[in-house]
Amino acid sequence: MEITIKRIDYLCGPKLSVYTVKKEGYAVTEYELFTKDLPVYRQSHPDEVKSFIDALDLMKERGAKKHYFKPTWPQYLPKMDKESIEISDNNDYGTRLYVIRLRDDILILLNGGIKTTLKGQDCPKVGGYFKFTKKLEKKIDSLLVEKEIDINNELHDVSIDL
Amino acid sequence: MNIENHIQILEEKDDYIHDLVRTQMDILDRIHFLLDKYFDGSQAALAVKMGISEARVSKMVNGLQNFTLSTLKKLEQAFGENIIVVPCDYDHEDIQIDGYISTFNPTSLNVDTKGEMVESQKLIPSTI
Repeated sequence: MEITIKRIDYLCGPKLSVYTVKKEGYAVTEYELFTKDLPVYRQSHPDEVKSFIDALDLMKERGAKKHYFKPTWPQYLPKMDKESIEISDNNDYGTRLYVIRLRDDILILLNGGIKTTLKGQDCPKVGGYFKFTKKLEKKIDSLLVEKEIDINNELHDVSIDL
Repeated sequence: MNIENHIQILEEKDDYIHDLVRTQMDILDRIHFLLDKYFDGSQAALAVKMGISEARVSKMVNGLQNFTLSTLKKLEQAFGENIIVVPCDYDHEDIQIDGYISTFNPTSLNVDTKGEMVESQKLIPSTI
């Protein structure tokens, strides 16, 4: 499957370039797919959704610093404490927007949703995005090691064979 | 690229959430500044100093979160320096703190003829 990296100009700032990806055969990017359902996520998790939207806005001026993210793999937004999550039932583990943080100034937003199981990979809603994020990150890492991608250059429209 | 829903939520002002996230980032930046200053950025070294596991330290110092006073106090003890400062000059409520650490502008306070702050107006950093 061919993946093409797309820049999200609206989310970029002096200290951060934000990208998403478009899968081969899809009309829109992963982040567009995620945002399509934002109103739904917001109904049950208003503070979480608002907080990661605001966090992305603040990162324009501060960068996507490593310590803003919980040290998980894959990484995601938002990180909220359990008491901050509007848990509606036992199968609600909060919202996940999976991301790949390449550097303080490079962030790739993917897809996500409301996690319904303890382990992300087991969740019928976000499990696919969880696995996709890991697979893509692993691939990007190997391309960086092999110097097939240079993150010092613009990443927009760079294609990856996943 | 159509991210209309994102833009709409961003444009809806919610000062509480915005301020909360910004403060969480400020505290994380301050913690990592002190981590670099006193432990060369080593979370393992901080864990040894605090007598807890590195995994626990990692959770304490990474990720946007609602820090408890207890957590901040433990970290302050390990760093030997304040992470945040609370203004406690109750006689002068108009004193403004610029930023999250004691970067207040002393020129905004009254000084005596020798250029020293009048005792009653000194800003007393409070440990938390």
